[in-house]
Amino acid sequence: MPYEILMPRLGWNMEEGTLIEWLKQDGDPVQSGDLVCTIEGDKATMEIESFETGTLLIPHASPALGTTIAVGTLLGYIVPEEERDTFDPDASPNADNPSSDSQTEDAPDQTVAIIGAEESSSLQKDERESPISPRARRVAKELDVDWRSIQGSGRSGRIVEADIRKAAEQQAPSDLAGHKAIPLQGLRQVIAERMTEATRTTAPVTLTTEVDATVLATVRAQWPEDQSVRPAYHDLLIKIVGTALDEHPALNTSWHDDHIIAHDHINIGLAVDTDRGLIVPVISNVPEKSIQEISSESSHLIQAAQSDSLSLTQLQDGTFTITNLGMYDIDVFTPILNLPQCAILGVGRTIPKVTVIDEGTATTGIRKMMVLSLTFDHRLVDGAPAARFLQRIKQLIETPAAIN
Amino acid sequence: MREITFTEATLEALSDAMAEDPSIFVVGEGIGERGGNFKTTLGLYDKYGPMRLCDTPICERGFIGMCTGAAMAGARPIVDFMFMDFILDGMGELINQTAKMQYMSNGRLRMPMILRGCIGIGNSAATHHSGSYYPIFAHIPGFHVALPSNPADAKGLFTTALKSDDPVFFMEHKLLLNHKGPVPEGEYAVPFGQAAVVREGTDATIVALSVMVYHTLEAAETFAGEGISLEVIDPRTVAPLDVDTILQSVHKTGRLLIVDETFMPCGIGAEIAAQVTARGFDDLDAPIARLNGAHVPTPYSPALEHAIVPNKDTIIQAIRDLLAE
Amino acid sequence: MNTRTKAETYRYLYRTMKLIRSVEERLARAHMEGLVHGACHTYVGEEAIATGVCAYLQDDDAVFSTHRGHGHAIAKGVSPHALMAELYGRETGCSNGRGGSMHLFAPEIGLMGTSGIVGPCILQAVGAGYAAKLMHTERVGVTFFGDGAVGNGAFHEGLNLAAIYDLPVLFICENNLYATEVSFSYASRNPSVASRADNYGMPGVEVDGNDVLAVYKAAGEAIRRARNGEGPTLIECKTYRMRAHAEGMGESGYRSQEEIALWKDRDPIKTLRDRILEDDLIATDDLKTIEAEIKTIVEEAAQFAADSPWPDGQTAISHVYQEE
Repeated sequence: MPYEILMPRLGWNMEEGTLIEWLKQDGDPVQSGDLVCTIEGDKATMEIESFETGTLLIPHASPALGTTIAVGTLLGYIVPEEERDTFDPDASPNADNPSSDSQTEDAPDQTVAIIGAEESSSLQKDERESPISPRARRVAKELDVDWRSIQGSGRSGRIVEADIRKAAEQQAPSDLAGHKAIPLQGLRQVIAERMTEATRTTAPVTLTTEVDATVLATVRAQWPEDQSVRPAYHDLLIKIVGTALDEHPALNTSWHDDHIIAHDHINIGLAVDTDRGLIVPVISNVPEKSIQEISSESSHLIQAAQSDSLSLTQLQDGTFTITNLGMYDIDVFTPILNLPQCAILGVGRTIPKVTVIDEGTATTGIRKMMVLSLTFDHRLVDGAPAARFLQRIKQLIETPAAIN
Repeated sequence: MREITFTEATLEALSDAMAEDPSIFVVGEGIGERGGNFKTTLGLYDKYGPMRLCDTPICERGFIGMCTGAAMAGARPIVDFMFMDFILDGMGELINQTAKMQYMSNGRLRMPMILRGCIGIGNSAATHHSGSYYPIFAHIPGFHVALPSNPADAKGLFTTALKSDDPVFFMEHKLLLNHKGPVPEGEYAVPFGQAAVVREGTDATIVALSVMVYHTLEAAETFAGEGISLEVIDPRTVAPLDVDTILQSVHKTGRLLIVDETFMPCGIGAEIAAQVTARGFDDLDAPIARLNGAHVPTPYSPALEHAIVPNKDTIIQAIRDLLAE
Repeated sequence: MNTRTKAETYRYLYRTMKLIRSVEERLARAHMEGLVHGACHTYVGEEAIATGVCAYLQDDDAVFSTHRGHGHAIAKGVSPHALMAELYGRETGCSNGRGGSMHLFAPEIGLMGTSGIVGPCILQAVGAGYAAKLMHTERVGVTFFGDGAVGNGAFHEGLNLAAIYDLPVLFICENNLYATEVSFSYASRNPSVASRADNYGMPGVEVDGNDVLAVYKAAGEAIRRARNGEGPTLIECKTYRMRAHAEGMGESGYRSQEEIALWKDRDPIKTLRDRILEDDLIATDDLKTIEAEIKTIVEEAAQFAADSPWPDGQTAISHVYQEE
């Protein structure tokens, strides 16, 4: 391989040089160590020595003397003896290019952002009269205080945190005075959203009827002792409502977007008041269960609701809801629909009242009376079918032998 | 808990380490038979002999370079400068060789070297025996710089230095050497880069270095009597520097003062201020303040010496100014 | 331990010097081509010193050298491939691209670093000697430095410390008569480096630095003394650098052509070659084979270096401190 004589880089940042003169001529023999040419660099003039032994061949395209050329430009070749006959300096690909493919490979530009970039300030450039410390600005934002007209107590009138806090206390409107802001989160937030949606999207109507629960109370009181647990009123009601829904399937439906779903099963949810809020565990397949089964299940569910250990499945797939405020002396109320269900039954208190037993004989007596409040969604069902459903519940309560 | 002096605490750590590791040796002027000008190696010569307690001629560059080479060859040298001022003769060795050796060798050479000596202004030692210079060393990549303010931290930080494979400057303020304090028995280490909150408070954060911790705590007592609550932080090492603890404190208090005996320009306070401004900007209720020793060589006369270094009264005034911002 | 026969020794010395020469010439060329960045101080003409001293050294003997350290690196066992790749700034270099010409590291084979500052290598070799004595090994510390270091405080402090502690250290002064362009006769009123050993109470030896056998002999004796606990030695090797102080620098006329020609005649490789042929220890053909092998190796090394990858920029911040 012939050795290429290139314009050398003499100084660290030399980029061009001048070929001053050839000290050997084209075709001259050259020994290792001989000086072959003189180069002028940016700082000094130097004679270049050959490391190789051979013949100097200068191609026709080699730069003329005195011209300024780039570092790496081909000047000539030192051709070893054995290749002298076969090598043609002008035929070589490099002969046509004034600068040969330079081996100078620059290091890739890998500038690394090594210095940790410090977080840039988020300070907005507001126009302001008094200067304000960054901390005060932050606190003002947190407390929603307009600091622009505040008098600063800091040096040179700077508004400081203390000024903001003072202003926040004074700025508080009177209807908020003494009130404590409780952030909305968790169950409360869910309930809030649900209730709002119900009121917004449904067409609720509430029907009420007064029911004579005397016989039901007797049935309950006389529940056989050998049963494990005496059912609560709500267990009897669940069973009654389940039976009524079975006969009036139009009330066992749900609204979904643009169509109505008629449910195969009757799953009744019982609203339970817990210290976290209202929770509605569901007893599924009510018509297929006995009162004892319902009773056992409901007491477990209520306990689990109180201790916040209900599973998700126990809260799902309800088709109807019963809610009872009777224990708080409420007679009549307008329960909000438990979306997406068609209807919800509100149960008021059972209270002994003087009622007319027989109008003909003007007989009155004391009966245990209670009011049922049924809210239904008029989008799914009309007033008359809903009323008939409620009427059936009344019947079943007043003649409980029909159930079970 | 027993109370021992700062120097006794480090001597305990050193003696225990030398008993376990035969490659640890100490080099310096007077640290051999004499046991060190400040008793830093008291009693060790009789135990370990002249190769391990090596008295040197006065040639700091020479023995710094020698210890650098010894560390490269696998030993664990401790250079005891007596006064840190003397280290300056060896700056070339320290910065071009000691600091760079691990990096240049791509981690194949280690540099387990401790450079210890006393720093600080006091006792009219004058300008060649009062230097600290630790901001310079904290600036250089490759160094750790420890600055204990009490005997317990001194022992713990020295232990960490003894185990470290990096070069560590161990700066002992001359006014603290005979200071007594509670020091746990047995081996324990205080990690580098972990500041100590030496007093909790809510109204301002004061970062203090070395002996300034004491003056600052005294000032804090004065303010406590006025119902003002100050948080005092001792960084304990300035390289690495625990700015996170300072940021947490400023988040709480909104105000920051750094008290440091060394010169103000380009100092540790400047570094802390820059970092807190960058990373805790929205927590600042006032500009960050610095209280430093005067930017002058240290004069001799007690009247002059007193004028150029922070003390309890000037610290109190600086805190008042900060609170008024 | 030196268990070579005379012929083996001569072969080894010749081969090592020739290898250094070839690598240096190839590097000089590469520097002109822009493949070597920064500075490049070549060892051409001084090969006998590195070769003669390092012939005795084991992998765990520590060598500390200066900006003109390629020869010491090769003689200590760094491959031409690793050396050239380092100067080309590649990941495969002996310092992983971090050091370049003046910061060559191969501590695994005792090359503890070359340095861009004059002086520290002297002190560090003293330190290696101290560690060897402290830990009761037979290792020695060796430092190579030029005449330019003799006026530096490190020379004084280092020799003094090595002497007072009786350390196993070799101080090898490569006196090539110039520190860049400052002649030694200008920089010192005492032209003998070796005589300075007396100031410190250690033996000082002056040898012809271009006679590898003389260097070999003096070094052998000094190393024997050191390993035997007899302390340090200063060896002044009189030599000459045949190329400029650094590649790309001109001669600027501070060295006359006559002087250069005079020293060219005393080329250490030629001197040994003549001696080998005279003593008839190795055949000419054998020498030619060695030379051809070296040529191939050096070309391969250059190609290896040119083909090697650049180090990943992300690694530039690692190893400032000891990493877990």
